[in-house]
Amino acid sequence: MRSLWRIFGVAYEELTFFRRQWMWIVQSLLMVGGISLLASAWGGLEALGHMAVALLVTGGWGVGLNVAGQSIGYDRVFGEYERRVASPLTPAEYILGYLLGASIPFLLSELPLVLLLAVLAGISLARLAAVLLLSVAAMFLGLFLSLSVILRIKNPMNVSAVTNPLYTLTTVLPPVYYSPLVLPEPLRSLSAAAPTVVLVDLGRALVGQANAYPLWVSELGTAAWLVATFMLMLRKLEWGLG
Amino acid sequence: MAVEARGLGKRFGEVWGLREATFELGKRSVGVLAGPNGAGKTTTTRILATYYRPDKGEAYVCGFDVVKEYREVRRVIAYMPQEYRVSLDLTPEELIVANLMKRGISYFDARREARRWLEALGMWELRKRRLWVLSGGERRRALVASVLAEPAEVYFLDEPTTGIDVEGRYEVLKVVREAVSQGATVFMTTHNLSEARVVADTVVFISSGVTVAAGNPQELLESFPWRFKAFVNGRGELPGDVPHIRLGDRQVIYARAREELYELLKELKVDVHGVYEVDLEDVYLQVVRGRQP
Repeated sequence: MRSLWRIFGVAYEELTFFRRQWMWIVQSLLMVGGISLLASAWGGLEALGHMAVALLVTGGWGVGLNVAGQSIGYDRVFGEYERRVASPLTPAEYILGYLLGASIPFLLSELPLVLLLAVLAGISLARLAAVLLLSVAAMFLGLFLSLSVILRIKNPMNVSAVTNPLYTLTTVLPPVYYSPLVLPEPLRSLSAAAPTVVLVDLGRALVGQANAYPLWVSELGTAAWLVATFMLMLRKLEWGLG
Repeated sequence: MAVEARGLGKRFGEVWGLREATFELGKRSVGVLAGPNGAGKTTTTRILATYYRPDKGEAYVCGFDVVKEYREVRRVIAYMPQEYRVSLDLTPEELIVANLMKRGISYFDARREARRWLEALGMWELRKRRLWVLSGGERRRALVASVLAEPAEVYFLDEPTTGIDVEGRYEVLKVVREAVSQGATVFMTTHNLSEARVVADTVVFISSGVTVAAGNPQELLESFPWRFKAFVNGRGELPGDVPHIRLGDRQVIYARAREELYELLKELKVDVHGVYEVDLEDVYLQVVRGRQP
């Protein structure tokens, strides 16, 4: 039970911060709404369905990579990381606390809107629940990737200057909000190297939309990224006694 | 003993950031580690707080080895790093509640405990104000309170009073003494020796990575051969047997007794700026800087 309260403690502080900085949550909701309108205006309900899957997965990805990753990065600058090392809090509790604290304002606030989009596009909620699980995996993978990079930055003040472009690079440029099927070879195959591309493609397969890669490619790609980034993060995630 | 360090050393690449730190701190007391910038104060604190692994020597907190038994150490300590900052969007109450929860205390118990602390420190009225609205002293007091409210036996505070005014510093020292009166042990670092005299039961001087003196403030003062000092204006040469230190166009003259000092000043016919009792700064200059009057 104490372990649970420690996780809640980290989440509580993060939640309190975002409760005060609520405009960021509004900005995030506006992005979801705006992108959905854009997609449906050009591609109708089919595009909206693709967008619902992509937004759900990138929502989790952004919480891990950008929000939680940045918070941990800034903790290193402000001394909170050092303070927490000298306490009974474990690294796992610390990370889970941040993911919980960041996902409640961002992922959960977007969820009703994404659910509405899915219903409009005719996606069954049971299938969407499977994508939600995929979104959780994306959250962990995003955080592992983020920390693999952040923990190697020499000047820790540059946290958001690293995570923001990394988020854009992994979501806007590759075929995440659009299908890899529109890309010619070898670009289509090369795109499978991006973690967000295979995650969203897996999501498309889960809801019965046209997917670009065989399932084993997306599953293997996701698993490989999870293991690789987890190992890279662990090599630098020193919890004291350095 | 609450804290014991024996021959502690830490190397950063080829450079020894800490060479030889040896001292002890009894339970239910305040220990102050004082020394110039780069002397090894933060490195010592980080080793004791299990953030750094020492490259030589050993250290114990409440009898637990800081390396071999680091988990036990982390259960009995709380730590405020140097230049520690939090989001100024939090209120003092939220700050304390969050930090207590991070120690495994339930939200409900944390709120009760936060109230107890805020009332004890006279900050209950400020509990709902965001930190950015508070004065520097109040803010720092809230930060220190958030550490001292944690259920621990030994508290490590790395320069908790840096950058705040006299009133703010005394507010922080009040919190520290309050914690000790409730049974805690506090180990803090500072540059400010006047506050060390106010708050400390034990003062440890560190210089160039080596602890050079330790004792209670009165013992350290008594180890100093002079009791009084006078600041005199002028650059004139003083006789060699007059214990003094040059400070540009001002000099500090030392004596064993007030009468002896007045006699000496009359004899020297110097322009006296002020006469004072010696303090820890004089001891510090002698033991840390080797500036023997």
